[in-house]
Amino acid sequence: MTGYIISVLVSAGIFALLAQGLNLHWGYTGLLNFGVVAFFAVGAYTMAVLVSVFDWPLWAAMAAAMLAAAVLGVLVALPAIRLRSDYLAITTLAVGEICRIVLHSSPGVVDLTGGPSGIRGYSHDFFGLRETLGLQWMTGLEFLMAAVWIVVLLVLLVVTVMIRSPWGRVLKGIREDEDAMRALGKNVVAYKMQSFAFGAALAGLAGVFFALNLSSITPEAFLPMISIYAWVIILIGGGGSLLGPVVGSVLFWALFNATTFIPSEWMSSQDAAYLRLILVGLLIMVMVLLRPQGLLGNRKELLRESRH
Amino acid sequence: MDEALQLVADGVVVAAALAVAAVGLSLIMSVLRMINVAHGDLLTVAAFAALVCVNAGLPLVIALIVAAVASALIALGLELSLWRRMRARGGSNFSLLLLSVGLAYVVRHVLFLIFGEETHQYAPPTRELAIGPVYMTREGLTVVAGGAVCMIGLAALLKWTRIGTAMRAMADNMDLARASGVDVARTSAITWVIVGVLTGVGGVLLGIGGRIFPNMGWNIILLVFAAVVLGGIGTAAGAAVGSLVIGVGQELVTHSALGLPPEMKQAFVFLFLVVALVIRPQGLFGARRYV
Amino acid sequence: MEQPKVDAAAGAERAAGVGPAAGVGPADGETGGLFEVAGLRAGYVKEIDVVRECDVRVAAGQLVSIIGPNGAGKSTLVKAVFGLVDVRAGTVLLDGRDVTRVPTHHLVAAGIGYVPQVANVFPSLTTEENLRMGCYLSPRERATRAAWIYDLLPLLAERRSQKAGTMSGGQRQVVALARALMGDPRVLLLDEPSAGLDPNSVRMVFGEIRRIADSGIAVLMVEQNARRALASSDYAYVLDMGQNRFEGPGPDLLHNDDVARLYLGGAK
Ligand SMILES: Nc1ncnc2c1ncn2[C@@H]1O[C@H](COP(=O)(O)OP(=O)(O)OP(=O)(O)O)[C@@H](O)[C@H]1O
Ligand SMILES: [Mg+2]
Repeated sequence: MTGYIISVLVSAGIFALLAQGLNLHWGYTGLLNFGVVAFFAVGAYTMAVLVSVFDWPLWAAMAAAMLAAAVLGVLVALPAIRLRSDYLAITTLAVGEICRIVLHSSPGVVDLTGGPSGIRGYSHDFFGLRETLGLQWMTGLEFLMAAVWIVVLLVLLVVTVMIRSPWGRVLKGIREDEDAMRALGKNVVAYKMQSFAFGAALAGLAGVFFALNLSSITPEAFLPMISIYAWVIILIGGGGSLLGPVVGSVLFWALFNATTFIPSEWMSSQDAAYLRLILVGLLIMVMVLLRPQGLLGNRKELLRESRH
Repeated sequence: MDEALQLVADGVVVAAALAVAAVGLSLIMSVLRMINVAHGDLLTVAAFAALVCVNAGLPLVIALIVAAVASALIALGLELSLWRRMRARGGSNFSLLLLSVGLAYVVRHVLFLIFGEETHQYAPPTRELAIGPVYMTREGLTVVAGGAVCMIGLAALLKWTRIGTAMRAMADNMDLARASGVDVARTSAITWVIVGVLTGVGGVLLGIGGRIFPNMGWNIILLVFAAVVLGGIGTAAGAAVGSLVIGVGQELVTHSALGLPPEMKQAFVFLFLVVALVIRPQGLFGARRYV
Repeated sequence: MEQPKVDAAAGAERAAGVGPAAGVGPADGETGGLFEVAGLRAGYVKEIDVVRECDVRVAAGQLVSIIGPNGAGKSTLVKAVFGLVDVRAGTVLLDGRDVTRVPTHHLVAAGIGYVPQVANVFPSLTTEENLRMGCYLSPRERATRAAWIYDLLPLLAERRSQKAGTMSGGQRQVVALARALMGDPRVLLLDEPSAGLDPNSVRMVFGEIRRIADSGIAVLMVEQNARRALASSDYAYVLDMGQNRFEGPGPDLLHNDDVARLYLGGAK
């Protein structure tokens, strides 16, 4: 049971960060990103490569990971921001796949990423911190859990402050009525880009912790499924609410990992994994059909048509 | 040169199945303004439906018909139970897309649960025939012929029949179609049935040309989408041209002169898709405004 | 789909050439109201009524105009009547039968034709196909009616296989009108049929509309070309802020000082 709780909380913390990034994309700017996994992967790989190949200190690699993800965010948002919502979704889905394939087999890149065999040996620094801080009594996983949740709370604080700032109010204004904000002389595109880059950086940070939770990362860990999980979390928690991603993530992983309690006489672990993904799909459908605003969401019409 | 020609021939086979898959997605996008992410997985369902028939000893033609009928019924069932309900409450394009993502997950993993991870074939592949400078299998030729029949048939239906004109009218202007007496709900349902048949045939063609496994449709959904975007939404000719460009282009980038690993070919197609979407969202060859 | 269907008899009656039943309208029954709208409320967004309390009545053979400032709700009124906008209250009667909230395609089957103000053709369809859509519900009559239309509007015959999306605004307007006529309607709803036409075409279209009305069709027309519309209308309504402001025979309104001052850009 403790094992279950810790594994839920580790995953939930990582995905709360990812979903918070997506929340900035969708909940606050209405940009439908189906490729958050791209930023997640770039964050994870940047950190892993910098630490294990170039021997960077962890904190610098983390900052670089967020920066790299933010830069990719700007590159994606720059052209994509003009697309209609569902087209943007497909475009970003494709961007996520491009990232994965490039990490897997692009000449040049694979020399650093190890291609399909992945990359390892980037987490000693992080788990070494336990000794430095005198926290040897914690297991590695417990330490990771604590670290992730401290970061989740910090991010929550930062995002709250930002959303309440004048900058955040403009962002909200754009969400409510883009034309009105434009008429007020706000550079709507610039605001959207900033929010997109910020969200991408958070996704990159989530990727760092995701990598730390695994002893090695391979491109296969960054399937489009990751983006879908983030979406389910937002759907559960509700877009545009600050606590939504956190609550949604905990609920999602509690439910997701609960399938490990299915007795093995009933079902092989492989089948249980399939069942889990069926549940993910059903959860998406049920949420879209019944509560598109999420459990904590505050904007009913987010999924409504803005008539063309 | 011979290598290039052979790659073109391989690409044409891929394109034929892709086109049938693409035109279904494209019709739904144009007539119902919805991107059905589950389209790929419904192709897979059809391929497996035919596999079940073949394994039960039925000839492939019968299996194809069964798959087409089953697929049409599924498409109709989903329209009546899901999509229509969502549209009636004013669900946005995006909520429909999200719903179809959920459906895609359910369908694919139900298939995994039933059929496991193994790949299957309808029959062991036959020997390659030399056609001029290139080699093609009998299966490859079947796929090309089947694809051509579907595309020409659909083009004729859209162009010459009353329902086809109504579908194009709906794609153009939904309210005006209503104002002309088109029963939009009924025409939507018929569109889904037609698309269901195409999905059924497309799935089986994909299975004939390659292998059958639960991820087969999901793996190509972005390719299919790229073909649609490239060719322009809502026409059979557009889907055919888009699929040819994608199918042949994707094989050609594996030409040994370029020295790229074959896994990279999809990355190029996706990159192309992104660039195409951003530069010309109405399709490279399509004229209709959609975005 | 629990909306009432239009009685099939409406179609039969029409085929038999039986005129509108007398005395089915409200008590005064003066014009025998073939088509009547009473107390209509309609709108797009929840809780905001664009049309509030509207009454309109058109008899067979009458040309009735609705004029009013931009944004008055004229187009919304026509769309609501035709089932394209949410109706919140009021009734629409066709031959005394309640057809409020009847699905649009049933209204078409019952003999109502509509030309929208904008997006009034199928741009990717050819002229021929646009006309074919015009008699979607009676494909057998297609050939005869198309021949009649091409005869009436020779402009179209030349452009038979041109896509409507590639035509000029005025040409599209003509295609739109022709499409509506292809359905052989008993009631024709026209939203600004003269918009964007050159003076000769305006004269031609107004003449044609008058002739259509004289042939026994009830025509309800929204127009910005207000003076001309009033001059050729049997009856007219002035709509403002979603409500009836004035009504009366067309020429009377034309010479009404208040109407002229408020809605026709000053006294004549
Ligand atoms: N699709 C729509 N959604 C929401 N509001 C709408 C829509 N169409 C029109 N409106 C609003 O309804 C009101 C009435 O519009 P309507 O088109 O009926 O005016 P109109 O009288 O036809 O004007 P015009 O002379 O300019 O054609 C306007 O305030 C308009 O903003
Ligand atoms: Mg109007």
